[in-house]
Amino acid sequence: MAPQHPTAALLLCEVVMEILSWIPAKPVTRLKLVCKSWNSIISHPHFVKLHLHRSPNNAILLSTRTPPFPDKERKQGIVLSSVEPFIQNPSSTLDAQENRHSLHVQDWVLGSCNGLVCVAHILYKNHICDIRFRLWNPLTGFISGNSPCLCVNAHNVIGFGYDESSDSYKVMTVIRDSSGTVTAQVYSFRGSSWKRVNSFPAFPFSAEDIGHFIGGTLNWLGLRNLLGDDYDWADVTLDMLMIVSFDLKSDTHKQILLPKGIDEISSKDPTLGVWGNRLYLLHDYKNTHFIAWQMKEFGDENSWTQLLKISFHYLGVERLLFPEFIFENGNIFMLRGLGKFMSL
Amino acid sequence: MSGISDTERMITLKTVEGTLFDVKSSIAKDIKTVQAFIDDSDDDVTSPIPLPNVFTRELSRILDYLNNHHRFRSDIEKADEEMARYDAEFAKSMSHEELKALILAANYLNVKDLLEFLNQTVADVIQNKSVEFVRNFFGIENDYTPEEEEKLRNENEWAFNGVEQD
Repeated sequence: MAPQHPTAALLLCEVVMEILSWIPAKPVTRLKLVCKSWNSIISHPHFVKLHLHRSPNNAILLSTRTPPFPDKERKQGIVLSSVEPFIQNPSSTLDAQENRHSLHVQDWVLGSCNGLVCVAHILYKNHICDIRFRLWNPLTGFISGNSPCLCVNAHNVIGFGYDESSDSYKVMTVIRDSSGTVTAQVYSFRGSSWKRVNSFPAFPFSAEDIGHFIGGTLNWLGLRNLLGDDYDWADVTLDMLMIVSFDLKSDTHKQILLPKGIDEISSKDPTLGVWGNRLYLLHDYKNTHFIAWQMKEFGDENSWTQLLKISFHYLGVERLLFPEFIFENGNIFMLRGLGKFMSL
Repeated sequence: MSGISDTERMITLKTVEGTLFDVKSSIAKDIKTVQAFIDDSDDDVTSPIPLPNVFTRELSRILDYLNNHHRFRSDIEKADEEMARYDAEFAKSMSHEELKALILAANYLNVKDLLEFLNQTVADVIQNKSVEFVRNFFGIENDYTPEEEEKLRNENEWAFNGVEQD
């Protein structure tokens, strides 16, 4: 019998996964309708991870807290959109009404890792809050079960990351009590309980500063020796400012030194960011310029490089505006608008 | 450098149809399945290596691709530009059926760079096409009931907004 050429052959599952990983988020989501096996390929966590690592263009922009759904539904809108159209056409607009998903009104989106989103459900009771965390895969709609409840005071900041050594996703909360003592609690989505970490060296000064995940660590800009409940940025000195880096594998922390070129404290709070697997420190200079530092090799303090110093005037802004996305080629993506955007 | 030596060792590959191809050992290195076979035989390969899943048309294309890429890489200055031009022509020269057959062969032979290039080519072809086009392209039967399909479409409504179906 003459050998048959495999003209209409079905391609192997692994090949299909490779092909689909090159397609941006929106069209690849449509392809879930091709057949059941493609739906399971696209919904698989390994695919989500592969897809995200292919290209930052595949990343999804996520906007939280769009106008709420009718009150009785107790839902809020979450908008998903690919970053790609914004790169190709910077004047694109996001159609929040059409692209939204819904989440319970007490849920808020904490951050994402490998394309999986961590959602926190928070209940406030006087000065105490009960927090439960879940994982959400926006490509598939899959939502995990709740973490055990964490009961903390209102002075807490949160981070979300992935520990490759144990293949587990972890959330972390840093808490400051009334005496000024800082501790942390870590939960692995593979485990059953929270683990306490004593003596955290600094407290992240912005409650909205979600831990910045890079190289298996969560990073915050923090202030050490903080007295009292509140602080005034005008009283903060350069030696109080530090980057604290928490290793999700070993549950230990260390300090990362600021760039040597910084010799005075900025007039507004600086911020950290992670894009394209690099750590960035962003701040203003004398309230007239925007400065971006990039750490070329994560963990090597000698590799801080000043990427950009640009006047607000040139940017066409009156005040400090932080970027949403910095690409590996140095292009910076900024968004202006109401609401909070987050890049996945 | 063995890559430019005239006396370089040759390996013989045999396709499903029985066609024989003589291949330089430096090229065979990029064909991981063949290289693994050579390594397992302690480099003592005298008879043709049979490739029971690879057809003549595909093997000949793969060897063309590898030979050309080796040639481009020897001239660093023009390498990227010429390679990009060659790759574009290479992709255009095939029908969709031929493209799929080549992916199967490149996957079986484990030719990494080529496979990645072909996968991206297919991704570009299908990404703005309708679900129906993609099913036809891959020869896939729709195994959803109309109800299941409707439900999935509603759940992923955001992805269907602003799409002009072909």
